[in-house]
Amino acid sequence: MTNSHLLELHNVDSGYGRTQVLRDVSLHVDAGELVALIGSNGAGKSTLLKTIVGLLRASSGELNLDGNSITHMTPEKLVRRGVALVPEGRLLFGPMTVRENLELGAYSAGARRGTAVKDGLRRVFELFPVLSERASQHAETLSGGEQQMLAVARALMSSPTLLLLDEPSLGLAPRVIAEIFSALEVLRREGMTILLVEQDARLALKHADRGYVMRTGEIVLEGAASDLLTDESVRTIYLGLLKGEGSA
Amino acid sequence: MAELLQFVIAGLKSGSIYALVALGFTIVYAATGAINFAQGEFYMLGGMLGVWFVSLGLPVPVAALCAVVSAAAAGALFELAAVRPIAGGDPLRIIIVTIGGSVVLRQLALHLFGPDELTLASFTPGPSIRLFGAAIERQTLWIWALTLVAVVGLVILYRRTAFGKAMRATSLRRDAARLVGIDARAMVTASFALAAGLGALAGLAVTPLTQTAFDVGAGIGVKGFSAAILGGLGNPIAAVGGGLVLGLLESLAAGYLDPIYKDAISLIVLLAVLFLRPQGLLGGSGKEKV
Repeated sequence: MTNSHLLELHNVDSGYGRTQVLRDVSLHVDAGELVALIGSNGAGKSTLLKTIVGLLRASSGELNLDGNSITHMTPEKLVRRGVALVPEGRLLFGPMTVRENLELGAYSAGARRGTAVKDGLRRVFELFPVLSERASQHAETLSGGEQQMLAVARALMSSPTLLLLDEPSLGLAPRVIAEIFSALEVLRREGMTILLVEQDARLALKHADRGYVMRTGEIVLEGAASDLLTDESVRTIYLGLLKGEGSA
Repeated sequence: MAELLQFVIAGLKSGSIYALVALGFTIVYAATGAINFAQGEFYMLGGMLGVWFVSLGLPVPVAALCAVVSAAAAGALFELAAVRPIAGGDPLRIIIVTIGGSVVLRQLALHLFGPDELTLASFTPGPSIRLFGAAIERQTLWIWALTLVAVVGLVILYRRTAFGKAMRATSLRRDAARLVGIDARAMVTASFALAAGLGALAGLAVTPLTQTAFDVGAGIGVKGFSAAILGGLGNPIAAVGGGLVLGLLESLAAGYLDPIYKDAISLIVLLAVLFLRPQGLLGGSGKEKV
């Protein structure tokens, strides 16, 4: 199948062991886009990201990157193909320093690691100057916001073409969230393709080109971010504009 | 005073051996969350292979290097051929596979090297060195030196090299390690190889003093495991401490109480730690496993 999409999912089923979470999920992300994936807690958003990077295996369906199948590709191979995930809960190497976390982020560069680390550090320190001040601190001693910045920065160290983010705003103060999203805007202007999973639907849609809405493992709605922001059902369920309406 | 010093020297000698074996336990534990009960067999292989390479006419230093490298390769092969396909990543299954593996390795050694006790010449011949009325065998100095080199080498590996940091990262956060491109399964193989190499180094260094045979693995396995538990299983440096403490306790108990207690000490220590202080005497928070 030839197409111009950078990432494409066809009828993907996935889950944990015998527990199926995703049902028949199809979506695509084009080069240069910022696509938001919204939905309430437990809708399967994180499962979808884990399936894309290969931490979970799709039980059926197809995943393509740049027209090539990545359906059963492992995460360690996929990062070499330019896909990086900022995982849920950050998963930093806590007892290691900020610098060591970042160096490990460039692990996939292999023989070119020296240059990759140097270039990568310059780039992420520019994006998040606070990390350069904290470079020799252990990751676990950072504040929540700094840890999230480090998680994003670590993913960027592999010079991805497609960046996947899982709930980067979770548990953070509004000022920190603004800082992280302005960094995402910078990346976007540089041409990075981003697939963003967020529970904060308004925040995600405000920054996105397009959006998908997930409910109980299925994509139930898709469209331009601006349309989704004004869509009646999205407003009711995910933006909480009407009182007394719970999420499904 | 000379007597005490002699006991301390003997304790630090066997303690260093226990430390190397214990390091192997902590390394595999960090990578898999499982105890490698075949660890003692690699100690046995170190001595046996050393004897075999010397019998081929190789000079002792070359034979020693060949023995340690072959044992490390055997450790990697053991992981690839038995642990990975049978156990997957499940710690309980890994433990069971290593118990089975230890029997296989022991029988294999029996068939390849025979049932006799074998020995090696001291690495450097010569009389013992006198120190305040106590005697230190030259081979003991070798044991201390090799233990020191191994520990320093491990610290450099873990703290300074990309490969060592990748091993630590995998043990801390397996998924995150995979996401940055680390082959987590290869790190498990590497940890088995490293543990086997350290065990083999111990078995090799001690053979000139104690002789070796196909069945020495089980006994040293208990000692090394006790030392690792004493150190808390979580921390290699604490495991080295655990080994030295265990060696000293054994030596002092054998010297001042009765030699009959020597082998009971490690079991007493093992049970006491597990009952009273499961995180280990020397173990800290146990947050990082390597």
